[in-house]
Amino acid sequence: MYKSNPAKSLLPWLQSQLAESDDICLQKLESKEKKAQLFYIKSICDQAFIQDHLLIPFFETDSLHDYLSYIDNLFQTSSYISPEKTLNQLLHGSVVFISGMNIRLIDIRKVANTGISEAKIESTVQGPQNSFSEDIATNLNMIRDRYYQPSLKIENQEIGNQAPTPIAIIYDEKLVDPAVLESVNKRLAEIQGEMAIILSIGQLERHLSRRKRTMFPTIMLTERPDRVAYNLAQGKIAIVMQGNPFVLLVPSVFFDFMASMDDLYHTYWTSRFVVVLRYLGLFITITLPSLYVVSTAYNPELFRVQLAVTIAGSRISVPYPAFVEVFLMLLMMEFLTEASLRLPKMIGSTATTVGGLILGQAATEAALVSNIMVILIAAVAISNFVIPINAMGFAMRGVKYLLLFISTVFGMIGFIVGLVGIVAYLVHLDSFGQPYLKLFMKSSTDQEEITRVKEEQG
Amino acid sequence: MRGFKLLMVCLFFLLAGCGYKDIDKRFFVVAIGVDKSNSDHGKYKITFKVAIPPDKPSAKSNEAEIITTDSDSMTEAVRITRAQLDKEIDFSHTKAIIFGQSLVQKENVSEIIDWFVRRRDIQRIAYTGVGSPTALEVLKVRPAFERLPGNSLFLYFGRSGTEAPYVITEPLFDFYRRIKEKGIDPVLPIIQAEGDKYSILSSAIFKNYRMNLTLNDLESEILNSFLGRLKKTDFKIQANGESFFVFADSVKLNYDLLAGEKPTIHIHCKMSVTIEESKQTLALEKMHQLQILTEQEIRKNVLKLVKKFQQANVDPIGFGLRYRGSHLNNQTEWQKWEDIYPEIEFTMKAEVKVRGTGSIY
Repeated sequence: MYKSNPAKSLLPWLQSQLAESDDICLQKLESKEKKAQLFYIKSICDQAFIQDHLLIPFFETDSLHDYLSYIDNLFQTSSYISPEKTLNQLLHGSVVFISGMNIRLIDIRKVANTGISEAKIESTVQGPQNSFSEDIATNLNMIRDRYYQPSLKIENQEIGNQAPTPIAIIYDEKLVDPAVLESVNKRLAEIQGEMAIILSIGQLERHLSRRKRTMFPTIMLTERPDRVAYNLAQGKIAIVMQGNPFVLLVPSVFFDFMASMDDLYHTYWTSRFVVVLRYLGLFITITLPSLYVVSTAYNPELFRVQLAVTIAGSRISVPYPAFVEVFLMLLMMEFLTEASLRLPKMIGSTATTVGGLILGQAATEAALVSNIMVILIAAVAISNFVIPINAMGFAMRGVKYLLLFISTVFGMIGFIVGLVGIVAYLVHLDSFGQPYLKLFMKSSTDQEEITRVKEEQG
Repeated sequence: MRGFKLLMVCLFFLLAGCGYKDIDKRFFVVAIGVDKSNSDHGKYKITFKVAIPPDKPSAKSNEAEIITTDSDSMTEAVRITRAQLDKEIDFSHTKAIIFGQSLVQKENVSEIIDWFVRRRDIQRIAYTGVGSPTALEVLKVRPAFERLPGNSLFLYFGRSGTEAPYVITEPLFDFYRRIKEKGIDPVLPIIQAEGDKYSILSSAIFKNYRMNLTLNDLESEILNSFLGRLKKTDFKIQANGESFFVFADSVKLNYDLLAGEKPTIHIHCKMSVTIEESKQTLALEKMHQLQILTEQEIRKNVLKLVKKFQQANVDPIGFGLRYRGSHLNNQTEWQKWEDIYPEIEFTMKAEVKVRGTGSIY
């Protein structure tokens, strides 16, 4: 280490690597016989920490030796490894301390967005109300604070070969399926090689799943710490990423996406009822438009005669065939949903009122669509929101068009084959080796087996 | 292999039946009437009652188009009717099939019904009935309280509306079964058209594919109980100068067929009644006497009805079917039953429980 002293060349090298930015700060300290330099990026470092814990002690200690031992005892301090590593740490909020031949790196990262906010996307009625923050340390804290298990393991990694972002892989060592863990690690290593920069956890999710074009989500994104804790207890793996208020959960199967955390917090029959309601909603939202077309245009005998005559009456002034009518209204509904998603909250409600009430009313008055159509579309839209995880809700929004098309062309048989096809596709999917339609994530025998093998190895 | 699988899936779609036709481009035939024709165009006068859909769902509209065609066959009649309508004629909601009285008295009903049971789109649960004076008159009736064309008839027979005890409901599948089956004879309600109302009081029994016997209201009521389709009814009891009405909230009529040396049909009747109306004052002490009177009256009426069946050699209750079902000599059983039936003896036991004299004391 003393053969070629890096202390002298490090600073000029770092400066040459960094662009000339105004927030880069080189501070020279001199007191009695002590001399030192602090090199850091102002905007991501905690200024107060530098003042209280680096500058003041510098002037209070007698010798450089005392001061160095003080610094070495700070838990943020790490020793110098290589210039590249130093540059990376500098970019993540470390101070480079150089004094003579001594180099120390002190991590004093300041994160502005550590605030914990209320869960907005997966809100529950009776459960915990807070969601993850955008800071990885806060999030890890929140997870640890909900899952008190000695076997909980956190592995820190970085992803992206150009601008690495810290991620953490969290799992219960006793419960995790080693095969899944291995494939996750393998996949992460592959991404590390392929991707220059990963900005959001959604992007990571897309690259984690092997299929490039898929309709249904196979990895869950959640903002709820209690869901993460619950899934860790089931032996799943959570991936946390710096700067993202969401956590990835792998493997995730279809039924995970249909579960709300509230199911665990309500009384038994209430939650059963809600679950049944949810699947009913799912069924309605995918099938209702196609069932309408099938039963009005192919098999009107499905209705009772009273309803058949009424529907015929309400459609009599509509100039377009039923499938065009359905498609027009569905499209209108999608525009409304999409618009109210993107709009600020204040305007959002106006948009839905204008769209929902006025458009629906006017369309019927103008005889562009039938009255029954409006009811149907409203039912489809509402029941779509019954699906608790948005990713699945979005997926199902697409599925109904597929079914509508096939039913329009082939009638009832097309509808049935379409439904069978959807189920077949779901069966064929998998999430990190777990069948997508698997009902129970882990049977107790599986669990015991894994624990036993682990104990033998350990 | 993948291509083959894809092909197999695509072949599925060839199974798709009828083509795309919007519901508003169809005319729903809600009822079909078949009468005897007087013209020389054909044997039958066939009437379609086509529903005209209301413009607004909330509006009351039982408007219907009545289209009459003379033809020798149903197929021809449909073909001719098609030419008179601008939308496709649809039989999927044909829920009432009415035969004219004069037709079924003379013509073979199994010949007419053939088209109805062969067509895929006519539902087998369609209600059948005899129209009096003609089927056309029945189809023309538009009750003031009817909301949709033909709905009144569906409510009569569907039991979701009225529970009148005289209305015998006969769906197409059961009618067809009774026509074809040995040992049970068809029975159809007679729908009387009276101005803008229906009146369904009597019923008609068929023998050898023709209408053979007419039952009055009381007889229809008892037959209905026999068929197990009637749960609540009332009876008039008149004996020893006393006259009162009982309301039966549970009626069970069944029978044992004892085919021994001397073949007997033993009928049991269990009934639980309350007094509904009385011309005299009823004392609580007389309850037992009332019960006996009721039992006697029921017994008298039931025995009278089954003997009427026996004399006319008709069997709407299905004694013959029961005999065939419990005797395993396929060659001779039917011949034997035909010999037995005219001589068979009827016995009856009625158990009536009088639960009260109504809500006045």
